[in-house]
This record gives sequence, C-alpha cells and structure tokens, in this order.
Amino acid sequence: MTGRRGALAALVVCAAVVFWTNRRLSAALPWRYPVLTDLVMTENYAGDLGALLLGAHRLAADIAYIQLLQYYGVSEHGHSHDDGGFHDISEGKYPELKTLSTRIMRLDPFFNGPILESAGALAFNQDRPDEAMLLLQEGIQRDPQFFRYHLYLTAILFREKGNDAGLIELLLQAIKTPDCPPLFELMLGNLLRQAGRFEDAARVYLHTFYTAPQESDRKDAERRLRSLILESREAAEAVRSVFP
Amino acid sequence: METVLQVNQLSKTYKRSHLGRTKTSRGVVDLTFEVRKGEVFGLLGLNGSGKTTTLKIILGLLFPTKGDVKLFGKPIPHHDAQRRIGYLPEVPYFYRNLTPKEVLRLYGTLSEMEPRRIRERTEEVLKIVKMERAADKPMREFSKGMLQRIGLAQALLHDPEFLILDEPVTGLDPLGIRQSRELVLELNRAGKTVLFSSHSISELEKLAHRVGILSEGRLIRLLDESEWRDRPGHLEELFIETLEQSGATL
Amino acid sequence: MIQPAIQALAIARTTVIEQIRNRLYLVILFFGGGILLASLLLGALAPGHKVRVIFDLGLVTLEIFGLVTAVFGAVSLVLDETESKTIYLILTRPVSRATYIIGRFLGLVTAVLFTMAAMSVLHFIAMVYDYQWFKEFTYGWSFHSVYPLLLVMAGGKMLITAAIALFFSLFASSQVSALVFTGSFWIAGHFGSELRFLIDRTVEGGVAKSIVLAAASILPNFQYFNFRDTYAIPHFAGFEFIGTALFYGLGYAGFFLALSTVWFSRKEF
Repeated sequence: MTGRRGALAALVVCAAVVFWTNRRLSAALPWRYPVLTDLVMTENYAGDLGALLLGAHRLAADIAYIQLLQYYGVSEHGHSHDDGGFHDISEGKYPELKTLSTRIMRLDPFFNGPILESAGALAFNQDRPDEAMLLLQEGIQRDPQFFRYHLYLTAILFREKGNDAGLIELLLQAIKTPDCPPLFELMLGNLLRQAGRFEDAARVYLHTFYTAPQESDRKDAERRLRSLILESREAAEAVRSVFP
Repeated sequence: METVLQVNQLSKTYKRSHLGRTKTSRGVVDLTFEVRKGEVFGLLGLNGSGKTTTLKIILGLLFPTKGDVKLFGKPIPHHDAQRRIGYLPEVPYFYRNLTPKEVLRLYGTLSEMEPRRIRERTEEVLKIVKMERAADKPMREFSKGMLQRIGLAQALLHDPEFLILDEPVTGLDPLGIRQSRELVLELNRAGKTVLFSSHSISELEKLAHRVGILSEGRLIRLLDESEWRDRPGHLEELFIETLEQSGATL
Repeated sequence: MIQPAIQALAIARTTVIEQIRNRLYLVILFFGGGILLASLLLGALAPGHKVRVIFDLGLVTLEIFGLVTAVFGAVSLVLDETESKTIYLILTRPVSRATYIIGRFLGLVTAVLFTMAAMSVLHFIAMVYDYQWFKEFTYGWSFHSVYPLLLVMAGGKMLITAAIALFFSLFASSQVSALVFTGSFWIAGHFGSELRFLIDRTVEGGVAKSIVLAAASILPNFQYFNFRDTYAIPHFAGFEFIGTALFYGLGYAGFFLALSTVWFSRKEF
C-alpha cells in the first residue's frame, strides 16, 4: 500500500508541475500561425486539415508548394516545361496562382521563398501586379520581419511607375541573397541590357544559368545569353569577357 | 512446529459488471489452513474448486475480500516474505525472444540476488532441470516440456525456503513426471517446504504429507498421509468419498 | 531506493531487448527508413527547396514512427504480457508494482528513442546527400545547434506519448483501441493550442467555453515541443522556454506514470 500512497503523492506533485509550467508556457507561446479558419479552401483542404492536426504546418506547406509547381509547371496549352523544348511561362493565365500561393502562406507564413517566386511570376510574367502586391502585403502582415517582402513590393511599384533605375538598384540588392528567385535575376538582366550595361547583364544571366534550381530557368538564362551575343558586337564582347 | 503459511477465514468474491448489472461469484469461502515448515502440502480439487484462486491470493496476484494470509508470520503482501518463496505457475510463460540465461538473469535481479550469485545459480539450476544445452537459445523455439523445466529453474533460482507449485507435472512426459517428483522429494529432504496444487492424485499420494480437499471454494477435508500411506489408490477413494458426502457435483 | 532502481533497470533492459528482437519493431524501422529515403524523391519535386522538404518530411516521419513504436511497444509489452501471464513471474517476486511500471516505461522510452535516433541518422544522410543544397538550406542559421534541439524536443513529445500509451495499454482490450486512444491524444495535443486560441476569440463566455478551455488545458500541449514547425519563427523561444517545456514534459509523463501505478496497484490477475 506504501507504493500506492507514493503514487498518489507523485500524482499530485506532477499535476502541480504541469499546471505551473503550462501557465508559464502558454503565456510565452503567442499563436504565430494562421488558425484553421484561415486555411484556403482548395480541393486539398482535407489534406491540409489533416496535416495541421498532426502538427505539421511546414510539411503541409511543402506539399502545397510542390502542388503549386505542378500547377504552374504545366502549360495551359497542354505541354510542360520539360518537354525538351523551351517553354515560355508567360503563356497561359493560371488563374489560381495567387490562391495557391496564399494557401502556402496560410499553412506556413514563414515559408517565404514560394511567396517571392509567385509574386514575381504574377507581377512580371503574368502582368498581374495587383495580385502580386496583395500577396506581398499579406506576407508583410504575417511575417513583418522578412524585409524582402518590402523589397519586392517596392520593386513592383518601381516597375509600375517606370522607374527602371530605381528598380535596377533594388534588384541588385535583392540578388545578393541566396534565396532570390531566378525570375528577379532574369528581370534584372533584362533591365541592365536595356540600360546598355551588357557586361553586368551577362554576369547576371550567367549566374542564373549556373545556379537556378529549375531547368526551365537555366534554359531561359542560356537563351538570353545567346540573344545578347546576337544583339551587337559590343554585347558579344561583353559576354565573352565574363565567361570563365 | 513453525508455520510457513497461515490462511485464516479467507474469502474471495469476484464481481463482474456488465451493462449496469453486477454479477458475483465465489472464488473461495472461509478458507482456513496452514502449511508447516518442512512439509509437503497438497491442494486437491476439481476444476473451479478454488485451488488457483487460493494460490494467487497467497502470491499477491489477487486480493482477498475477507480474511488474512500470513507468510513466515508476516501479513501479505510482505517484501521479505516474497523473497523467500519460489513459484511455478501451471503453464509458465516467458519472453519469447529471450534466452533462458537472460530470463534467469532478470528473475535473479528481481529476487535481489547478487550478480555473481545469479551466474552461479543459473548454471546450477539449468543443470538440475537438464537444460544446460539450451541456455542460449531463444525460448520461442522451446517445447511445452522445456518451458516447464525453465519454469522450475526460475522457481529454484534464488534458493527459496517455500515452493508454491501449481500443477507442476502439466506438460511433462512420464520420465519428466518422475524426475519432477524426485526433485520435489530431494528439495523437501533438504528442508524446503512445498505447497502444490494438482489434479494428479497419484503424485499427491507419493509426495504429500497432508492434503486439503477443496470443493466450491471451501476446504471440506484435511487428510494426513497416515490415511493413505502404504495403500496405493486409497487417496483417490478418499477424495471421491469426500466429494460425495459434501454433495459436490462430480 | 537502490534495490528498486536496480530492479527497474533490469526490467527496462529486458524491455529493450524484447522490443529490438521483435519482428514488428524491425518492420516499423524498415518502413520508417523507407519513407526517409523516399523523401529524397519528394524533395526532387521542389527544386530550390529540396532539403527543406527532406528536413520537414523526415522530422514528421521520425515522430510518427516514434508514436507507432510507443503504442505497439506499450501494447506488446504490457497488454500481451498481462494476457499471456508472463507478468506472474515478475509480480510474484519482491518487486513493487510501481517498480514494474517505471521499469517498463524506461524500457519503452529507450526503445522509442533508439528508433528515433536510428532514423535521425538516415535523415541526416538524406539531407547532406546533396551538400550544395544543404548549405543553401542552412544558410543564416546554425543547423548543428538547432537539429539536436529539434530531436530533444521531439523526444520530449515522445516521453509524454509513451506514458500515455503505457497507461492506455493497461486497460485497452486490443492494439487497435490503444492506438486509437493514444492517437487521439496525439491529435488533440497538437490541436489544443489552436482550439484555445479560436475559442478565446470567437466565443463569448459561458459554461461551454469554460469546459473547452479546461479540456484544452488538461490535454498535453504538443505545440510546446513542436520545434520542427516553429524553429524558423524569428525570436520564437529561448532556453528558458525550452527548459520549462522539458519540465512540463517530465511532469506530464510523471502524471500518467503515477496514474498507471495507482491503477495497476489494484489490478488483479
């Protein structure tokens, strides 16, 4: 019976420990993720819900990202990026692009990379800057410390206002970070080329060619390098000078 | 004479609840008997007579509804008293993926033996039960008889003063039964007290000094060996006669 | 105190050996390892964030398989032992029921943590397989400080889960029911914080709200340990939070262990 009494005493002590530590922890744990009611209603809603019930916000966001890539990676004309030939991702309307990107943000607001990529695609490929800005504004609201949202929002505004010089300076800052989407690098390359800064443009295209994770972006960079060579002798010289 | 086990007015009632209704059944009723030091005491009865219930209460696996049990003069459960008993269940079950050596090491530690003593006694008891060669084999490969032998080995491991054996010859072949009987006799000659329950009247006849006959949870007769010694088969007659007199259903 | 500790450790040791030699345990380990390697394929579908996918899927896999090991271990060790009467030869020795429960728990936790450690090795290999991408993924934060901490916090979650699994295995009638009960606590434990947040903000007082808030407080809060989801949140938690969380985990596991002992002390066989 001594064991039973000891167990009862331990029960009381442990309950007290749990009560006390729970109070401290719950006060220190601000709810940082969007709640269940904020989840975006897509055909994958049940899966998202299931993942959240298992406490897997990040994994749910990862899967949502993969699905976004599959959506955006398939041309609405019926062929994909990797069908052997170059495919211009500005083709097609992709009406769900913002919705699917928002889905990722509502699952994990700190998964910033896809939001930047989608904002860039919306603003510069799909010519839907309003949607891009809404996406970035929500990103700022949910993760205000991630400064690149502010940076890219400013870049879109510069572009809208035709302030290419300001945009070039902003993008030169942005590409220094390793998670800068290739889309922004290519856009910077184009702006530099338009401004006659062929060597800088060639360097940027070359960087994208060597480092972009997606083959379509690397092929895009290669295409732009070739087109730069053909533009003028000066441009060709500039390209040759930066090749290792 | 010193008493090793004292059972006094022991009763056990089982209660089973199902869908709000409670059913009660009696395990044992007002059981009183004692086991003296150095004797072999047998519990005899039909299936469901309360033999196993009695043993389980003594061992602390069941709790009495009424009455008390004392082991070595101490009311159960008592730590020191438990250290001095060895138990062989009717069908010993072991960890299938462990070897006899590993299992005996565990039981020896639980019986508060020193590690060196565990090693020594492991070798000794495995020799006694003739299982030395299988010492390092996983027990999922063992037959019923082999498991019974290991069961006996673990009961003897810590050299207990009081052995409680529940149907010790179950699963043994005739040679095994004889070896088991000789072992019990040898242990008793060495001073060990034995309590065992059995259906095997012939074994009780050969081994026991006293036999308690249980029927429907009650001790209905206590027999001394003088009543059947030198009259082979007479214990069985006494058993049947006792049951008939008590009105038990045969 | 020393003798019960020696006995508990002997029971724990036997538990670990039994677990590791159990074929079901090897199957669980095999499947978990398979999923970790499959994460390499899933990672390939997310260029630019390959290692993140492997990282996240691997950590969830680690925990899920830890949960499965805990439940099946608790059931096979306690439920089966009770039904097969192996327990007779332990409880008829001078071993207290509390010592038995603590020994079983220690063995179970050791086996679960061993599973997680083995899988974390595979997980690490999968992550560094493409070292260039691993370097990019870990840019700006210290993987070598954070990863062990993630494993420790996952271990804290498992400590609570193993204690709950052990408790349910004492009176569950089957492996399935034990898994259902423990799994329900797992889900509720991850969902509790969110539920409390939602109720607090959407419901105006009343008995129902009080009941829900009380229930959310009583259930284990696994969000305290969910560092695999929250480590990247800026300024999320410091060492004081982590220490308090581990203390919470010990208290919660201790509570269920004590509850198991109280229940088990009156159990008849």
